[in-house]
Amino acid sequence: MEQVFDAIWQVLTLKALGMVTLGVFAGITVGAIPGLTSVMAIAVLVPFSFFMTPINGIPFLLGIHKGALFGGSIPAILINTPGTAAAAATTLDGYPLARKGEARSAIQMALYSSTLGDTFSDIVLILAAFPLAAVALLFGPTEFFALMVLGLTIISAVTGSSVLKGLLSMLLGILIGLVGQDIISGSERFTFGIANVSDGIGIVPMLIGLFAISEVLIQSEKKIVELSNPPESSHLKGGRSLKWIELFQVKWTILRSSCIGTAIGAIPGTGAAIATFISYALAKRSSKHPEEYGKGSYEGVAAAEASNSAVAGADLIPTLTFGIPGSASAAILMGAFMAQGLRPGPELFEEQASTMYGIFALLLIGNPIMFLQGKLLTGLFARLVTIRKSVLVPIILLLCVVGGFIYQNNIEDVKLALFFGICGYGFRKLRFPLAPLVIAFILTETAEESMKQALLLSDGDYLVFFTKLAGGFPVSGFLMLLSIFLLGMAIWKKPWAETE
Amino acid sequence: MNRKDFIVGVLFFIFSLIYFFYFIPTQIISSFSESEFAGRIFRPETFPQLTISIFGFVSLLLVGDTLVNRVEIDTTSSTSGRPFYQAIIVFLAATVYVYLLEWLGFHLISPFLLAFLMIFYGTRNWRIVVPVSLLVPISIERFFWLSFKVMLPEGELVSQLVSYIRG
Amino acid sequence: MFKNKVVVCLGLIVVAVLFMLVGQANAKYPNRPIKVILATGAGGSHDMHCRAVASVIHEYLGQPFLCTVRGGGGGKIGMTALKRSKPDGYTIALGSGSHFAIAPHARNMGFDPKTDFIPFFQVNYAPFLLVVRKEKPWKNLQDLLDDAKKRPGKISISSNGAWGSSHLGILQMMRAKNVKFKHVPFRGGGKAWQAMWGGHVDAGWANVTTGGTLSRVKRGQLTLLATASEERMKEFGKKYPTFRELGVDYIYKSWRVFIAPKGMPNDRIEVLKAALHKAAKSKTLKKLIKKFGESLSPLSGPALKKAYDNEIDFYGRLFKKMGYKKKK
Repeated sequence: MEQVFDAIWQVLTLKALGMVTLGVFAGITVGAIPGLTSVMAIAVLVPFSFFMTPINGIPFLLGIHKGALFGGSIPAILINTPGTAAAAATTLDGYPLARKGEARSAIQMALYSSTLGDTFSDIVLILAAFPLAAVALLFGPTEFFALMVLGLTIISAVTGSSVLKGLLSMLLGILIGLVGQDIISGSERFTFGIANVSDGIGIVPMLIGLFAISEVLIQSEKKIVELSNPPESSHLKGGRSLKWIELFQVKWTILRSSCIGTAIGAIPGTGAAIATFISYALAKRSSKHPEEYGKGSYEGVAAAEASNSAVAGADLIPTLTFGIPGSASAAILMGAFMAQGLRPGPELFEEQASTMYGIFALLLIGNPIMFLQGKLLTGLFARLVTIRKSVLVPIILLLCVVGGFIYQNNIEDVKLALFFGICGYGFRKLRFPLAPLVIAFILTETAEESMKQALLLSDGDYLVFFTKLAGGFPVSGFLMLLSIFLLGMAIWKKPWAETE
Repeated sequence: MNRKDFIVGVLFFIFSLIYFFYFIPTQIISSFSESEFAGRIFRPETFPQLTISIFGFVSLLLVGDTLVNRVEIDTTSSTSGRPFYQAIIVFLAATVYVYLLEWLGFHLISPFLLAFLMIFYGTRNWRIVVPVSLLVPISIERFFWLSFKVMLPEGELVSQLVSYIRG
Repeated sequence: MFKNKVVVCLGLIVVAVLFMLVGQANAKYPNRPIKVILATGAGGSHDMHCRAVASVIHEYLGQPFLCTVRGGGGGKIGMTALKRSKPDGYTIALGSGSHFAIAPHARNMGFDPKTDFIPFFQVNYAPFLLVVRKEKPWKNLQDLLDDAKKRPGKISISSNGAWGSSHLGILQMMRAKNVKFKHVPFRGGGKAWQAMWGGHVDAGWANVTTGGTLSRVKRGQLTLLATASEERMKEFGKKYPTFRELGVDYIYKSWRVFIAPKGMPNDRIEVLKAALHKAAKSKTLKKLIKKFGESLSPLSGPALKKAYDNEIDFYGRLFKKMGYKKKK
């Protein structure tokens, strides 16, 4: 134990702390710009870490990873555009809050819950990486499919006012998710000869189009007077600060979301988006005020943000223990670890113990640093809503175009974003909810593939989804029954869906 | 429900028919006539067929719903003011901009897009329009170049012109 | 009045924009950064290698490499971008074997790897390895093949996608030894490896870096059955046989090769080649690549061109034998 503290003490140099601060700042910035993903930012900044010591270089990158997940909530709240796919659920309640003139408190809620969620999963990572990783390995194709089914059933929780429209939106999401290569047969589906979509439709251009460009178009309908004068809520200067009591009221939501985010984040190949939506849906189910969800519920923001930030720490569990990156940005982080001679695996913690403890300590310290930076920046960001629309909206449109482009340095993605922009505009005019479409899109690929893989392995036995034991536990069966239960609840409780 | 939903339902149903009978046969391109794996479930068209069938069915339900529940909910009241063709103009401007981007480049045309939109949205103060439309694109370009070494589109014509000037 | 203001606004903008377009003076090649297209995703092993090279190359070239990720379309997007780029020496790519040797046979990629590109420098390569978990009963490839003969279609092997590089390895084994495996395709090599490591499939593919395979084999957690290289790999002390030794004609090396578009002037290629050779001798780069668990194996000139063409022809013959119809 003494050795651990010794190691920690040694790494707490001013330089290391400075690097974390810098990384977190870069992360928040990157997350806040739609189209600029943390994957890309980390990839670009990895070479800098080559020439630093592990204790300076790695925490710098981890800071980006961390900051980006919080940063994504800022445009989600302010301009209804998730900076990353993981923040898509944050738009559901964050944006309504900003429209009410409560942008500042909404971002603060996102910040507090992100910090708490991240801290929680960092602690889990440090204390229980190996046992958790062993559980994560139990997830094979069968279990993945069951998890995706659970993801699809929770859509009923985010459908908004009309169940039928929610269903149609979800089915459209599946159809869009089917575009690209079918990995099982190797055939190309619904690409219409467009090279850019032969690997599937990019999530970033889609999000930019559906949320941001459609928002620009909706704003364009407003009267000139409304657009060219400072917004009605601007005298609030971005709104009030969050009260501590409000944070205290959602403590269980944050804890639940942190657990879900950590658990799902530890399973490689699932991603923050799924964790976030599942947390959001469960929070709504168990909330005392489910009717507020989707109309500006602080609880909703907390549920979404705590869980997506909890993924940040949990992502590293399979990455560091098995060398299986939990997400795309974890994959690059793994490269950076390796470039420092920190090769993932059990030996990492045996041979490089002091370095690893130092990195972990800085990972934890990154949370208060993120909190402080967020605190300082929130007021600044919240002021954005006080800019008159006639200046802000054109800039947002320009940023959408740039964001679509830099995602893969591809102008075709910008065209794709425009296409989804007009689709999103139509959906919103006709009151189709967008969230089911996004979740279904994210889930489709894994759902179809893992179902086919599971059936290949079981020689076509469909019962495998209920009977398969993973490490002695019917993981898949449990998830399937949970889905059936939730579905039953949704049908039984259906009347609430029709009343508004 | 209202008339709009009725029309959407019908359109979606027609779309599902087109999808099922035209897109699925023509837009799934396999290299082998038979899938490597036995069993219908592994064929690439099974999942789309299933999805679109449900889609068509739900569209019909939506149509039925509008006929049964004749409660008129006015969905247009919230977006008062300028009609929706304003949005279409903005969309067209953005589309033209994106297509020009390939040829003329980010630097050359972004200021015009910004200026056009700001004036279109009612900013009449040139002390705002000119600096914003010039400085915002430059700072965006600088930001991405300096921090991420990402080059925004230079423009085919512009880069040829530049290399011509340079000799 | 309003019209006047609009005209003034636009006029000022035009003037300012023209000022921005004035170029700098000409100088000898290279006088600006060189864009390196990566047709793979961000963060893959190609990305890491590109950035490792980029972190030292400016010392030998005077200008930096900009690694630009243009993934998607199974390499189609990045590689066609290279084909369409101006061959002035300022756009090159770090190519991958599956993009130039496999994909063009499987579907219409919009380029001909032999005539549209010039391979000019190989950084290194990482052959595919067939591995199983240590609990599995097979100690070498022969065990696996014998067992597959006894239980046709029961032993599962994951691949990185139908008709991708590792699926072809499975097909080659089945053809050569007349056995049947259960092939389970995954999206990408990482997921395929994960299914093997989690015990969901029996065997899987890796290269030395995937999931720390090198150290896992050395520690005995994984059993290495065969390597898809021409010679036994020195990373493993030449202990493990190649597929060819065991009568399976399968080689896949995950190349990292710098390629130029057709028409790039020869003197400019030579400048880059010289700088890359120098960089490959630098201690920093050697150290970095070694930390990835790999080593540098610089190759250029006719030897590289021959190896490049050979690989393309090899897979061309393979697809032909299987009766594959290329997609339009």
